[in-house]
Amino acid sequence: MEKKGYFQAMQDWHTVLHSAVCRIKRDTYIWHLSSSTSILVGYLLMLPTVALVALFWWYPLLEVLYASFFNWDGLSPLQHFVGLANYRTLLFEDPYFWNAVKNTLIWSAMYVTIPVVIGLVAALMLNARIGGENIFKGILYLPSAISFAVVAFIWGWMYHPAGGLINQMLRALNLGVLAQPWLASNTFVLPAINIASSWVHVGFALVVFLAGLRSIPDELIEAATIDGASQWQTIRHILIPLLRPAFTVVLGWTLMLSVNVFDQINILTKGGPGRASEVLSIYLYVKTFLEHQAGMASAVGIIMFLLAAAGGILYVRQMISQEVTA
Amino acid sequence: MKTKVLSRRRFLRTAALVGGSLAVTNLVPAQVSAAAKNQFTSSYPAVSAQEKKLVSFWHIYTEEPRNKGVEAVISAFEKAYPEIKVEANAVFHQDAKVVFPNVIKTSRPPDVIQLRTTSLARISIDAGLVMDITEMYEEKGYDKRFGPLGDTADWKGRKWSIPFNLDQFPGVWYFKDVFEKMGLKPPTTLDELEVILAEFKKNNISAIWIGNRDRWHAPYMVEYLILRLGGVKTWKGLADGSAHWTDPEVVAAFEKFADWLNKGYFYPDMNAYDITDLYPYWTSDQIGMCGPCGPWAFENAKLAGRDADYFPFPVLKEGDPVVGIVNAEPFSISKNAPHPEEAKLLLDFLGSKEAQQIFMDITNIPMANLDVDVSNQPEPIQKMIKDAHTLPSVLGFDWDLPEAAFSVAQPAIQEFVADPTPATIAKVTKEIEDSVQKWLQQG
Amino acid sequence: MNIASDSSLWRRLKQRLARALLYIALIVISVIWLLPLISVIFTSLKPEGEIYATTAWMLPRAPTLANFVDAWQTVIGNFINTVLITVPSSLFSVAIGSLGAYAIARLRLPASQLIYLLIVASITIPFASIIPSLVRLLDNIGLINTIPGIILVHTAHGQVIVVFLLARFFATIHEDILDAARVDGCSILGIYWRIVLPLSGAALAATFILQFTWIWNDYFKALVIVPQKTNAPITVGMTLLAGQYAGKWHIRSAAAIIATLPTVAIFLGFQRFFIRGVTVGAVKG
Repeated sequence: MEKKGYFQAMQDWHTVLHSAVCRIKRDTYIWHLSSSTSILVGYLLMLPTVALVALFWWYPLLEVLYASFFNWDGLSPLQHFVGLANYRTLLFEDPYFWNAVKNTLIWSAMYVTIPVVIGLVAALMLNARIGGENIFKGILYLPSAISFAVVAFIWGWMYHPAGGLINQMLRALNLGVLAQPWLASNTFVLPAINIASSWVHVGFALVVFLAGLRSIPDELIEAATIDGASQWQTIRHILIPLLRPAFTVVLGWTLMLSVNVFDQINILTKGGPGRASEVLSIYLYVKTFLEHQAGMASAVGIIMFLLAAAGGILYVRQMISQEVTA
Repeated sequence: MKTKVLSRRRFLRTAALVGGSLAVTNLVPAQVSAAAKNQFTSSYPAVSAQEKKLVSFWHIYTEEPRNKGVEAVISAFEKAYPEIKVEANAVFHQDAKVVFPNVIKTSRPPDVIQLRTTSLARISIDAGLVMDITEMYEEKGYDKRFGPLGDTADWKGRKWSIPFNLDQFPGVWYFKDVFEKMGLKPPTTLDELEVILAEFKKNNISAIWIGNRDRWHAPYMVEYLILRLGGVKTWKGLADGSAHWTDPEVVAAFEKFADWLNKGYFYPDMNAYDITDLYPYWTSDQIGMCGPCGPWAFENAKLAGRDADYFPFPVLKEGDPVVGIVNAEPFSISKNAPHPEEAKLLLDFLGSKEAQQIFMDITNIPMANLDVDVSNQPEPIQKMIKDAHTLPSVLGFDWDLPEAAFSVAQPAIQEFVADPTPATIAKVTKEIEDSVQKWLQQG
Repeated sequence: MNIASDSSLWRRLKQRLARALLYIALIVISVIWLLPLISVIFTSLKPEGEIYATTAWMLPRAPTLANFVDAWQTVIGNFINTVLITVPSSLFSVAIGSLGAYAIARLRLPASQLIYLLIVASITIPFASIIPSLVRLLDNIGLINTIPGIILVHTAHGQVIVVFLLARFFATIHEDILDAARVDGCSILGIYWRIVLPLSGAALAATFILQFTWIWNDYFKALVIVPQKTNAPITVGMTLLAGQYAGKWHIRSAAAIIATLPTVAIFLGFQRFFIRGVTVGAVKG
């Protein structure tokens, strides 16, 4: 077999695709991106997406922004304009708000590491073409197919102080001293819920990483192996760099999603014990639906949006520029 | 290989076609809206084929036996008014907090709706979304039907709802055989209760359990202790702002609770348990009592094959009035109800002895209507209903406190039960009081 | 020669060992992953009264399928609703989003990067805070509490992940192929249809799987937009099995298993699009 270099393989691949996939049309029309027709076509392609997002995300967001300047119960018409008072109260007078910000940051830091690392490792292992691959994939993906209400109930039982599997196992291993009332502990409640969510979220990371790995042509890996690269070198120098777009997606999405974490915490602890697992979205929910302070809640929503969007956009931009240079 | 690609192509093509057509319709919401409005709002509540008049009815009775109870009530109504069809819709009680405020705001709200908690009802009333039914009370003499429980419908001097079942009449549930074996009898004063708690402790049994992961169970204990140590006056004062959480009576209640916690009378780590988690420990006699618990304790003991009995929460000293905490589930009519006349008929029926009797016979849950016949209920439930109807009562915290205060009190009490020290008591009471003051300032 | 055969033997041994280790690692992970689920399966087979956390990992003493029958009878209508909601929503969102992603990723249009960031950033808008205006919006166009209404919302909200995922994958297609195609006379749509889509099989399948799973499992959006049980999906319908003072976890577990099967089936079914080089192979063959 002929020894092929990295670039040679890359070029071969593209040549095959190019000649095979695009049927050559011998008409005279040549597409110019600069022509006004093609710009119009481009925008038309975007239009449905933009229209939908604008109508169901941006327009409501503008309404939330407007409502955040009012003292509002969420039910009556907007009447009592208070200017920036809601923001002032939140930022300077409300200790619970800052507690929620802190918890959200802790949560996000854990959430972008645990499931992403597990998902990547699992995807790399499953990429090795082994028997029973589909079974393993199915098992790892299974939790994402379960709704959070049920996930929360499963993990509520896992963490049950007396009967839960985790404490029972610890006791069986003579490690009973490590047994905890996990969901009632100020220290362990956030990590505990985070692990439950990671159990689910790994499915997402796995699917995206696998899609990324599977769009890398075999020839590249074969070429590297023939060049004498070890398994680890192949992963480190070929697969991981080529997975950049998948990383952008997984990390960026997870980061932005983590700010809005709601279902699992609401079902498992409602933010407790005390306020140890009260993240911003729980705080927003309490303010809107339990305290009927929708104006204040709108301000929380706007601050959350700004925080997450700023972090998310910076991150995504950074990753995209790396993708281009890589 | 080939077929796979073909099928993917087909999949993509279909997707693009269908997607494209949807995209086109989306881009013209104005035209769509007129047609769609006629088409879809009429199906909300869905139109049945018959020419019957409709009335939509949203409630929270999702689980057995409550769902069976309400179904029976509805079919009795439809039998009494054959020209009306009830479109009932049940919403899970936790979700109702989100769903009901949203749905009552829409252009076609439910006709009859269960606005739980006084604070939600009052805000909806203030926003002009609830129908004033004072005239119905006067015409039909509802005051006699519901007695003092009719007061729960008051706001701004008018009537807005009718009470249906009593959500809670919590007392302490125990097993007679256990008490007999240990030579105990149901207490009437807190001192007597403490003797029982100590007796269980001496036998290495947790005397009593509270499952506070959902945050509402431990507040019951705080509520009862405040009510017993401070009396009704302090209680009502806390709801209207004339008494303070930092008052000595309230602090004393927290201290009593802390004392019991520190003595190890409660099943440990109460914040880690959902209420449903601890039944098996209780019914297998690893825990002595359930309290304060509602009639659900009886149902669940029965499922495990045990007969639980009940005593009202003991009073401070002999001769004090035994005041209960009762929340009556209310039904109201939406101001913009599409079918107001039918809604009034349904509301009247829901308040009637007939309907409430049907519901109670199926569910064993105490009802608001004073005329219901309790003679075929299990004995402890009979006792409980009698107490609920004859003893003086107040509304619970989660119903009557300013909403901001209760949402602060719940996590604060969770913090307190995890660390029942004087310092935490001082911190927690101040925290709740501050939130009440802030709420009062905002008006 | 000796050296060569030694090294190849050593190599084969090393490969065998690596493979064995890989299997062990995968089996360990799978067991850890499955453990929590065992409680659901056991619980779904138990009669009421046997279902407590303390016994969640014990085999049912009196196994019964009655829970499945109960659950099925209660949620069958909602199950159909879920299918009616999920299938069009995920198809529409992938179809519409892939067009937008293509335009964003491959056509250098003025302001397209800004539009891209605005679309992607939308996911950070907290859903709980836009509930009131979303409900009012849908009420105004007459779609509140209807299946078309929730399909519209899922399609719109799904654009974010679809565009994010697909734009990144479309961006990795080599410039040369597209340029060549353009020179050869493919139109904008022709390139999308003939080159971009066929080259993105795995990404499209991944996007569809994720959309399908999320929409199938969505609870909070459906709760707010279609709370009426006749139109609600199974996730909302399932809550009607639960009560205030009793978990009813035996029936809910059975319902959860029923609700989970289709998403797993879709995942495994769409696996075939993850087969590497499917396009190249097909073209050659």
